[in-house]
Amino acid sequence: MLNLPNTLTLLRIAAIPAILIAIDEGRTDLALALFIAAGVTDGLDGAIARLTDSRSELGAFLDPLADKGLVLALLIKLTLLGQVDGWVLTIILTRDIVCVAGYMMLFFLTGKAIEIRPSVFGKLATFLQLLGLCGGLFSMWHPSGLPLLPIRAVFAVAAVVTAAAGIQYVMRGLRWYQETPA
Amino acid sequence: MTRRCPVRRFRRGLACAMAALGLLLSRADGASADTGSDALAETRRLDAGPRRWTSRRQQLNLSTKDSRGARRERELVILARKEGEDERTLTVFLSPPEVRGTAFLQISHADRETEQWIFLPALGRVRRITSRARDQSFVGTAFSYRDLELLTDAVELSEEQAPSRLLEDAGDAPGKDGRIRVERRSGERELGYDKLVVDLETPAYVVRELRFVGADGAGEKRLVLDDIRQIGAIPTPHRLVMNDAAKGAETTVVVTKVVFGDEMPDDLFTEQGLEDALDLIEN
Repeated sequence: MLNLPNTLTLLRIAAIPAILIAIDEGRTDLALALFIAAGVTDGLDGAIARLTDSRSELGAFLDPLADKGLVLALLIKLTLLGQVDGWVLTIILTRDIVCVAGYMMLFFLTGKAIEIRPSVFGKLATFLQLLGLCGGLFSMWHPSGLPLLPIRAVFAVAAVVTAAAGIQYVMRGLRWYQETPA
Repeated sequence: MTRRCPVRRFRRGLACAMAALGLLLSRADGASADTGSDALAETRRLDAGPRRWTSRRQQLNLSTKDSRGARRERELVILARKEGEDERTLTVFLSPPEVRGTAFLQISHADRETEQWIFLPALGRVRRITSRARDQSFVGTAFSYRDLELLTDAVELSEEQAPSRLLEDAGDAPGKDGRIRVERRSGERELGYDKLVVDLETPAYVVRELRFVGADGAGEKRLVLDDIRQIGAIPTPHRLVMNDAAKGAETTVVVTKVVFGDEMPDDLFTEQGLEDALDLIEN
């Protein structure tokens, strides 16, 4: 199942440690370039899969895994470097833990997998998280080029939208559980 | 039974996932400092990595109170540039008129003594600050030339140059503000003090205080770095207070503007460039 979209997704997963190492080595220009490239492949793999009708089950799992891995790894890194407020990381991490735990719970309770469909809030939250991370990496590369205040504001909004999306997913999961026979 | 098994499996899976996440987060919190050397190395690692910068321009207001309580105000610009392992710092006084144009150049080398020169417009010539003259006051402030040298070197010096010892690891102690205290003494490099005590704030590993302790234990000078603001990933102190208890003098430095990454002409950071430093900075 290693078609082009899945290969791009795997490359995105491989980019996660590469970005973290680049930050540690002070190569923030490279980290930013890799992050932007990862963002481009995120759009590309889905588009190619749809256009070439090569959507696969593996891709459906790998794509969100790559997104979450990239966002959470960078959020933790930027929080440790003082660019992201701790409460933002807490909200985003909690939302993801609740969603993953909820998905697993529903699967183990019913033996069926709930269909993962991102909501508008979920998509907006991901966009804002990626925007904030992009700003954070840019300000590391060019410290005086972008003040931290707008970056922190984007993260604050992202955290609120993420929490709203989380509540939406939990409600959706509960509804699904009530309607699905065990 | 059939209902409990999936729940058990889920609980086991969830516990494993949480343990893995906890381990990841605890490891991600930076290396814990078991020795003074570890703490300094972690600070150096961050400074050379995510907090790395190549050039920095700072505008400062400096206020000095002498032992009689008389206060003097100064306005100055500090330009700094990193060249490999060397750091060049140029300080130029903008006001008041009696010190305007005074320029001070410091070149910190990784492998040899720091070099310092000063240009005093009243004398019209550049003077090299020899190691014997390093204890003199820097333009009437509570800082000596040696203090300025150690401000850059406190963390940068290797263990061979200035062996370190962990005095107090207050990193995890509640109410202790997450500080690690490291003492440094002269090694291959003569510090000019009996010891230098460096307080690092954890987990960011930012220098928050330097204590310059004289040979007899008296004559301690204390520099507090405060109002730390994050610029990019670089924690930058915006208020520095140097207190010389023995002389009853105190100098407060307030940073009014910081810009990283500015282009700076090469001739600014030379001994020859000191005479024209004010013109070069203002144009």
